[in-house]
Amino acid sequence: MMKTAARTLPSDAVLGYAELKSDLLFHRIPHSKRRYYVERPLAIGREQATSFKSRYGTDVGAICRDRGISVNLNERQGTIGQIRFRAQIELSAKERAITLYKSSMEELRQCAGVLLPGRSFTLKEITDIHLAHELFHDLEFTELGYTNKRLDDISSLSLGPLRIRASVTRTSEIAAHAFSRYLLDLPCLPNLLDYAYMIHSGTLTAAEFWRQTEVWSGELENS
Amino acid sequence: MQIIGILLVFIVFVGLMMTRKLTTLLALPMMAILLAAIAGIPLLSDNPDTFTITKGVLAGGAMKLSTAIAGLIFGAWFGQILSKVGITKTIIRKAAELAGDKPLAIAIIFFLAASVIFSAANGLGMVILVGTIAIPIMLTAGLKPFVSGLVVLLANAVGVVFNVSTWAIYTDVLKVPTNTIASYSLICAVPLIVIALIMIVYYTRKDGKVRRAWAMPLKPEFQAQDTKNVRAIALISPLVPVLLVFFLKVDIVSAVFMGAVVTLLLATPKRPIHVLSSALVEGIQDVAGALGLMIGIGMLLSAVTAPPVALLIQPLIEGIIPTSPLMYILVFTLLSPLAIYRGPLNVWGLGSGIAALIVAGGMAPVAAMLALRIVSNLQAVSDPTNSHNVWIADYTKTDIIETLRKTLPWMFAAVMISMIIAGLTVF
Repeated sequence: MMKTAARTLPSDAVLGYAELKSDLLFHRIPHSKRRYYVERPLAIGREQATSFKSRYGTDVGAICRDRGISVNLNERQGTIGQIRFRAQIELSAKERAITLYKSSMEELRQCAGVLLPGRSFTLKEITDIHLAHELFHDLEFTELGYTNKRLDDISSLSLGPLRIRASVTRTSEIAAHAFSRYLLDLPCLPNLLDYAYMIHSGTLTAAEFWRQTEVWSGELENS
Repeated sequence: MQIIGILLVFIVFVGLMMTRKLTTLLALPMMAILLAAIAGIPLLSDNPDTFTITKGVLAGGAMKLSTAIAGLIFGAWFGQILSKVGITKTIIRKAAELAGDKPLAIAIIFFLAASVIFSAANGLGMVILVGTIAIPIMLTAGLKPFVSGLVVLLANAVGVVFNVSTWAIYTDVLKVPTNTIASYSLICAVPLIVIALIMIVYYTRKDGKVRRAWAMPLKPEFQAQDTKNVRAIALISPLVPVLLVFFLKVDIVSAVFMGAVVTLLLATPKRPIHVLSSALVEGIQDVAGALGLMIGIGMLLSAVTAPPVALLIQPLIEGIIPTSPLMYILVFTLLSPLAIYRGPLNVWGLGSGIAALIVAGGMAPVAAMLALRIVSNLQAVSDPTNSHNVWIADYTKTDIIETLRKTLPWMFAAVMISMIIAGLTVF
């Protein structure tokens, strides 16, 4: 964990684990393999960011243009039901397009300081974080293969002798967060901003969040 | 002169309902009163045996669909019980596990699982319950908002076909026994299911795009309540009423009642009495709108089947009653879009009254029942005036008219196939 003025920032592993916990099949992951599904995608994202930065630099907007990815700014709120969409990428052989939700970017810019005291972000920085995240998915599509498909499958359902296997899709998001963090030299995985937003919007208190990071940390250490 | 007045009432009120100037809830009783008045039925009478607007149309009509109303109330009660003991959520979670990580598999398995849930209970409340769990999972799995909403819409339509609590309206209106209604369900359902699966595959694969999103829940995952699944054996509960009606010929209310008892025994919730009583109150709230419609339909039925009105309308209806299988297929297929926008073939509106008149005019009740149920498939999926269509469009941020445009041709095909089978089977 990294010390800040107010608290200790959650480590990559803890924030990666928080992301993994929201996978629909999390409860099917064997305890002994939880670290694997956190550490491997973190390593993949970090390695790709390091090599990508040395080859192309960090101007993600320009990189997207060079790669032929169109970037659209959506003026509408990206909330559907209880899900808040921040950015998404649509990938096909014909077209690759990133959609950024403008209001979502603005929200994150305003609330980032909640968990990162003394650190403020410009709208461009927030936009770059999301572009870098989606850029990693483009890399997965064009060159690397999806992170979740590169890792071991789990048994998603077992009915007697019948075993259905599936990949852990959230690992792709963990890798994308790690890519964004190391490409842009962020202090932590950018999904911390999601929790900052929850605290800012009142669905979570800062105390609850910090308590939960200890729970996540404990679970991860015991796995 | 009277016949012109009656036609005028039909045309004006259909127009008002289709243009959404007047709600069906109010239009049906108003039509009933006007039709009866035009035919010369007195408002009041000193003679207790005289059929009057107050006693025959309003009071009698309000109770006319009592079996259907009871079926609807018990069905909604059962739906709330399934929801409160956690069976609905567990089915969706199990479906997600079964589907794994493939968007198309998720869409198809959710369609099948939600169809089973809706066959036990439907209505806006159940659509919201299923939709709020299933749609975000589909969206975050990479499915388009339109496809995610479509899966729920199609599942609801399939579920309604098998939902015993909605069958009672055909018993009340057309006097078709429950076991006969059950025996013809597959004619309505199989083409719909096949077309629905083709639609899901087509719209999922149409643009060939893979979607990845940075999305977050508005509330943290660790605050989520009731994440515990019910025991596996309890997941058969939604099928109990359907199986009892299909195989043991149990009547609808008793089947639903037994379904509720089986659910409690298999799921053993902590506070069964509270579950039963709160589910009844909330279930009735869920179907309050439909209950109001049934009362209005009953009043309209009482009016159009009253001898003075029927004598005037019958010659008109007889002129359009199909007399051959080909005409039966053509008439109901081509006119099936009249079920949407609260049109004259909508079973939750004028359709019931028209069906009753068609049967009075000589068509076999089974043929009328089948035609009405088949046409309802199109209405259940495509009608922008359905409260569940409105909710799904709003929830997924999709255009409700776009949904109509994209689903109507497919549903028309499903209606045509079902009508051909029906024409060859019952006519």
